Amino acid sequence: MEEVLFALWHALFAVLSWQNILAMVFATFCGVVIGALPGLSATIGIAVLIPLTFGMDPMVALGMMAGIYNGSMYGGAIPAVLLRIPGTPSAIVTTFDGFPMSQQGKSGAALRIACISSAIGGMVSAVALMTLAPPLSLVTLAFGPTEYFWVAVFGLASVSVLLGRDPVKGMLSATFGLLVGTLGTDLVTGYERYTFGILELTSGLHIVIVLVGLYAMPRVLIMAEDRIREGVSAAALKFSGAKLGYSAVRRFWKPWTRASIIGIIVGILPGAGGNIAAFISYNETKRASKDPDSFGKGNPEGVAAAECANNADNAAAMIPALTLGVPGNSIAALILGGLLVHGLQPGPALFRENADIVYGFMIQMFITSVLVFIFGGLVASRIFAQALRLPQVMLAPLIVGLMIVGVYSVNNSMFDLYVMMIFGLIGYAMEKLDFPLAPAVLGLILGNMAEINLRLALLIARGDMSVLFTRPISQVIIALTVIVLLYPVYTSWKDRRKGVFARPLED
Amino acid sequence: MSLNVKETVTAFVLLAVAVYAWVEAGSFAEEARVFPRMIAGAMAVLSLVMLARSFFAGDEDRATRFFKSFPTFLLCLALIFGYIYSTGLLGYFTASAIFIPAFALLLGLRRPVVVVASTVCFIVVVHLVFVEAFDRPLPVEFFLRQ
Repeated sequence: MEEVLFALWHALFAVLSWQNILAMVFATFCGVVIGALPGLSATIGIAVLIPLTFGMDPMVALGMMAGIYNGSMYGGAIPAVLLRIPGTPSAIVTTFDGFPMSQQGKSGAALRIACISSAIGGMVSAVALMTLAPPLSLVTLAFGPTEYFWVAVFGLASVSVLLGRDPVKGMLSATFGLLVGTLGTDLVTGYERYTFGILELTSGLHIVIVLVGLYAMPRVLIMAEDRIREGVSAAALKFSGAKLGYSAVRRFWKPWTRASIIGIIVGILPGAGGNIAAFISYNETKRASKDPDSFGKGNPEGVAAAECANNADNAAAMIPALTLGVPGNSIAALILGGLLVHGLQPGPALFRENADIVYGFMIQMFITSVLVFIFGGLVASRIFAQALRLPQVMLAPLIVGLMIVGVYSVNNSMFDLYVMMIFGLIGYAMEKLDFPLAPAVLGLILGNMAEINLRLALLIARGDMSVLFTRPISQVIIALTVIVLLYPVYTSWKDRRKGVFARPLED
Repeated sequence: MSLNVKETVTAFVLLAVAVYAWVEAGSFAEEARVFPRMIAGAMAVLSLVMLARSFFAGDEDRATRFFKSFPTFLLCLALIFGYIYSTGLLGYFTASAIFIPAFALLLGLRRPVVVVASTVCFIVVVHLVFVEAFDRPLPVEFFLRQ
């Protein structure tokens, strides 16, 4: 514990440099705007942002990602409360009571509650990251190549099965990502795989090109097809009834505590996103309430429970990402991609060799949550809400412009832009056909880790495949993977008995 | 038994990709082919599951169209391609100055002030952030090339 505190103290000085503070303030601001715009989310924001961070100090780059992440999670609440349109999937639950509050003339209060709850959830989650990640990273010291191979398989299985609506499509999406990851020159044999004789493909596909194509371009095409030519009117963005006293804090401490714990637990589980945390937290708060009938009719506790839980998921989702390389949700997968871009490999070595960066990131997750509290004031929310006045047909070409500048700056290559376009079309087809995108991204990220460790394990065992199944830790991870894979069969059986069908949503 | 067309076509495409990946991996060095073949095998099995399922799922998706508006989709795709192509030809900022307003206008936005103001603000912000602050290289403008 002493070591962790020392590392945090040491990293704090690096975090408090003016470049870092500026990056966090700028990114949190941008994050709130991105979250406030329906159709845009933290995933798109971070995907477009990663190329911008190439030349930066890794800590500044991670500070920006932390800001976008936390900022966008709160930003999603603005249209959810004012217009009943969730800015991000995690804000769906916020609409349940946020919009009715708005209709009762309490939009200002609803946003204030959302802001404070988001900030509290984010801060508690960051503390959980600081306290849980370092000891967990030490556990992974017992891992060998076989364990790492199975960890990658477990990560892929859980994200594929739990994140989408259809486990088969989720797993197909993961295999697609894994296959794309094999493209390029094999580092061990030097053999070119699936390059079609194209010189630019020999070094493989840069993760950023695939990410921007898969995440950003489908949004542009869908926005264009929707052809929404009008932004939201100024009258619809009117705020009222913002007073919140000390009594409010006393009223919300229970929902905040419950939501924070739920958000952290859900965040650590690979595959479960902030929307699931918000749903569970909302249901539990409603169940514990003395007046459950008031939920859905403008109960402020509903807003507090939802917003606190979806932000408590944020930093917690980075716990398995930083320690095992298995992200807790799709945004954590993107941040993991950002870490890899900066040459930072998750695992115990990251905590040992880049302590300042990894502990600095934890502090940045905390500070950006505090920034959400500062930015989320009523005046600021009023400003952020103005982003909603921009028509979507204007927003679409601006996103294309950002995609081009971001992808081009990866390798200064026009070829990459055409590759991005191809992946954009694939992403569009995947969205339309209900294939989740996150497993594909995770497949791309974890594919390399899985292949290297599989080869290493087989090399050590002189080709004996049984080595994959005989080590005790491997057996535990295999058992967990089997449980995850059988989970949909169990839920389908349970739902058939109950006649209910519940569907989680991808972040 | 009715056929779910979208699912069936998708399953066939994925099966074809898996078969191609498996066959192509045969030409790799032995060590380099193990992992791609594992993936291709899993992909083939899963696409067969999807295919089998599509035969029994019924045609419930007939009402949901793949394209909301195919002409708009094509127009948007052509504009993105044009934007990318002209970025190499004319330079990033010139291409942006042409394609951002064209994009918005062709999609039906008839508010010139909003279009011009958004375009100018975007170009200025990208220049300040990407070029001035972070020194990211962008395709050079045609009139600045030597």
